[in-house]
Amino acid sequence: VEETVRTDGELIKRMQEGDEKAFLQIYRDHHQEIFRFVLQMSGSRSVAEDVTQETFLFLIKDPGRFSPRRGTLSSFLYGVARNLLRRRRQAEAPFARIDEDISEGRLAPGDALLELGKQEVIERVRLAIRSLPGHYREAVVLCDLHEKSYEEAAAILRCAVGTVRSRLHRARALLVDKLYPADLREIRRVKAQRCLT
Amino acid sequence: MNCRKFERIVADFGRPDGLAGSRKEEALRHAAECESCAWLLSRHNALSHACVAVREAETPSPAAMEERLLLAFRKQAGQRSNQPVRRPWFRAFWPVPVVAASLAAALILLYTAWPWQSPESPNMSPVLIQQAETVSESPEITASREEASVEPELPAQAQLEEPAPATPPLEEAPVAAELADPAMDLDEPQYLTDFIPTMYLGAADSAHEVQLVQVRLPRSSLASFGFAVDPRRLEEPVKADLLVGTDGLTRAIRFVTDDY
Repeated sequence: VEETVRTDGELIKRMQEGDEKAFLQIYRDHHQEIFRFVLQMSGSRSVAEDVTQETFLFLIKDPGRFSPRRGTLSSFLYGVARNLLRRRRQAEAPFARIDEDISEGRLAPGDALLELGKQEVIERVRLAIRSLPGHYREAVVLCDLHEKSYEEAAAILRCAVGTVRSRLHRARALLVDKLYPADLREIRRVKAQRCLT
Repeated sequence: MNCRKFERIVADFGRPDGLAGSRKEEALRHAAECESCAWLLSRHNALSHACVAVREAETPSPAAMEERLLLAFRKQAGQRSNQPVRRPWFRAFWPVPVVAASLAAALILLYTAWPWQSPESPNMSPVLIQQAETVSESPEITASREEASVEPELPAQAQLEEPAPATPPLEEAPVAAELADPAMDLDEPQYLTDFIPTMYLGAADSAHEVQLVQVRLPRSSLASFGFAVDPRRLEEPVKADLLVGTDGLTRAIRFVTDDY
């Protein structure tokens, strides 16, 4: 991590001096993860494009806002993208589509996830993730889809590692409930057999 | 391990920073024995596999974005090179408070260290007025500083002609007994204090001869002996009698009013 932070600091310094190659390296290293993060959080490709572009424009205009002492450049860019996305959501909140709230990503009974085709599974999982509350969604997207460690996710979300962990556990429990509705009866039966001592 | 503990850690399975070592083995042993937890683990594993599929299926960001951002970067870099380095105003003016603070400190030092003398005021350094005849050891020398009585420094004429102000300064406050003393000789110098020893006087020292030397001292020297001084009269000198030994050291001091 220290090596990454050092490299990030040097790249930003070069970028501030007008080095185009440094900027390109930063962009090529990070744009995919930022784009995917926004896409997975928002479910909208156009929003993902806009927010990703705004994130890097922010870096171009004020690269001095990144401080290697606070963490990696990746965490910084994730944080900027997250804030931009939240602002956009707040601005668009009065115009949110009603059907997004209704669907909740819950699958119809009889759709056992394991029996679906790969593409359908992917769509179902995406839908289920998007239906999660924001703070749970962030935990799943960062930890499960972006393979961030608890510490990295905590740095991006600016919260404690324990908070990330508990959010992820809760989010995964919700996802299991959403993705396996046909098993609800079985869940109840199995839960009745739990040993709690 | 029980089911409740297992449920708390089931999401950590398969994570590099999750379960490891004996804890993982213990959890797996429990899952092997518990149908409920085995079911839960299988669902979480399925979810993890689904997440991997989602991860692999993500579409890349549009290539055109790189071009747009590169143009924006060139534009910004061009503006930055053309413009002088912009600093926050407080950075641009940082020498001002530093210089001001230095000047203030220098003025304070100068003020405190300067030997203040008004043109009208007499020399504030001790001035020899008269060297009296050599005298033997005065019994007054033995008076301790605590025993020295402070007499008011009040002009004798003023004492007689004008009534004392309602709230006179401490230094000028008259002593009632002294004012009432009809035997007080106004032509005689009025001693503000008795002789105050200025150094330790041992038994052997008392046999030495001393000389009485009259000097003028800054009035602030009264304060150094613990007497109140009217700040309005700080610039006026005060007369004092010094008892100086043959070795040149002052044995005792007596303040004399110069207002007569």
